[in-house]
Amino acid sequence: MPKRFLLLACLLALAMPAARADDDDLESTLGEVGEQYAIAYLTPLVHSFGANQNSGLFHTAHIPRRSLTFSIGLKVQGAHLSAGDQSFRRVLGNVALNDYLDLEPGDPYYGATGDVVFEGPTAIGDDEVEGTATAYVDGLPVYQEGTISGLVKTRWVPLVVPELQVGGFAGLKGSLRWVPESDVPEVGQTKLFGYGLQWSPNVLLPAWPVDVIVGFARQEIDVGTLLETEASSVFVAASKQYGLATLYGGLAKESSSVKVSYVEEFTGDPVEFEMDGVMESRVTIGTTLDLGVMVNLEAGIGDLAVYNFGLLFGK
Amino acid sequence: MRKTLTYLMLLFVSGWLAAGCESDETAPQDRLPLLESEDVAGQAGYLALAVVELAPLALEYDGGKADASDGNYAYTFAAGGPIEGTVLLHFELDGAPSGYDVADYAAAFTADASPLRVTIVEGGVPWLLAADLETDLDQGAGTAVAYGSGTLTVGGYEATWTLAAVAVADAGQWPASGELTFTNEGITATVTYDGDDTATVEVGDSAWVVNLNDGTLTPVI
Repeated sequence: MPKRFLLLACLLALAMPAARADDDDLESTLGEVGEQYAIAYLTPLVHSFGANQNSGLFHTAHIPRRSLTFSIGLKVQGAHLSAGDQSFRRVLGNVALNDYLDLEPGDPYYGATGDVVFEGPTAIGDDEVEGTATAYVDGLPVYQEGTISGLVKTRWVPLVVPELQVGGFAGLKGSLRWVPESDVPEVGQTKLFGYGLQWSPNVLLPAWPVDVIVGFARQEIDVGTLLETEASSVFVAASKQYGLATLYGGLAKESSSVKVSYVEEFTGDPVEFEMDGVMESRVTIGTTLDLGVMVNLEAGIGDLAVYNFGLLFGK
Repeated sequence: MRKTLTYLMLLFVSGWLAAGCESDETAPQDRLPLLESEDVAGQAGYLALAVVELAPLALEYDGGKADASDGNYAYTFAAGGPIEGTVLLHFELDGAPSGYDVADYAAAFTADASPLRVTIVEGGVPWLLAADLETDLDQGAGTAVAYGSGTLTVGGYEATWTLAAVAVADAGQWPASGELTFTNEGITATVTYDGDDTATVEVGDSAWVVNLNDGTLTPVI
């Protein structure tokens, strides 16, 4: 039962932007558009995936030299995206119109060259407004077709992951984020796996006034056959304990990518592309309160602003 | 106490920093395709066709086409034609509201939320034309001079236009004179009517002749 709950929590958060009142899922929505439209439509979602995964990787820099520590809990991450990310405009100049629009032989402007303008809500944009694909020839909008609406109108893209950490040997701490591969209805085989390692130089320099760690983490999330994500981070962090509270901050270099695969309905062609996350570095500040259970709040600031809430049992 | 204050202060600073940080925009926000002089000239040419329909409306209005409402008359273009929608007409004689058949002045305008829909290309995106025209009428001679301004939405482009002293006559005659100035994406085209079924379109040093029957543009060499 606990395993099922964790799985459900993760997938709910993962699938939240993909959920729609009419039960359409992200994959069938994307099936209505081609690769170039999908790239622009998914851009904010893709960037937030990696930024979320690389959040909440530490909640203290204190690692005992010879005292086993163990914690298990949930980390809830949320990327708070710009309002401008709720819509997009992508212009493809001087292209064959039928390569990007649902034109068929015999239609006016089939085979013509012009500019194609994709615009409308992104995946996190208005779910009641349909986007458009418009062909311009010599400055005249000669053809237009409706595309897809947003999935969920929100500026928050969340991610929930279970996390286990074990440390206290030679200043080392290992972490594991894991949800077993499971068949989720309407999503498919879905899994989450991540690991990380931290080391504290305080074991060599115990007189330092603050605790310090260096570490790395790597994670993968697969959502059916639609999305495969990878994220990794290398970081240095410091913390100081004040009574029940630990304040911490850190710097990280990170990377992420999302591979998207689906079938376009109109052509029947498979569409596959990979996008890198925009977040390459971040400054993290946060605090952890030890109230019997550890409550952790954190902000990660880089190209995106990502917030993290953790609830951890143990030490 | 000191530790608590330090903690609270750091927490405040942290919250302030976090709250003050916004995510960068990541979704593409490309500019619309750049328009060239000939593109704008072509758009101006098609608008010139629409003006041929709009400018003499007050002169040609016979009151049988629609009922008066709110003190204004309404003229509705037939559905399925190249222009669809309603133009409101307000008639005056010597500065006071009057009937359409005695007026020496008329305002012809579209309601704010109801621009005309102009179909330029079959199956294409209708243009949205908002107009605010004034017309000095000489009903005895069957002539009028129209001036005013408006906007034109061409796909994603938002253009503006003005009309200066366009002399029109009833009975289906072409505008005898006058200018239409059209600006889109910083490029300005000037259309000059000359009394026949063509007009000259100029953008900078370039010029074209537009056929007012179908909007065809021919460069002037």
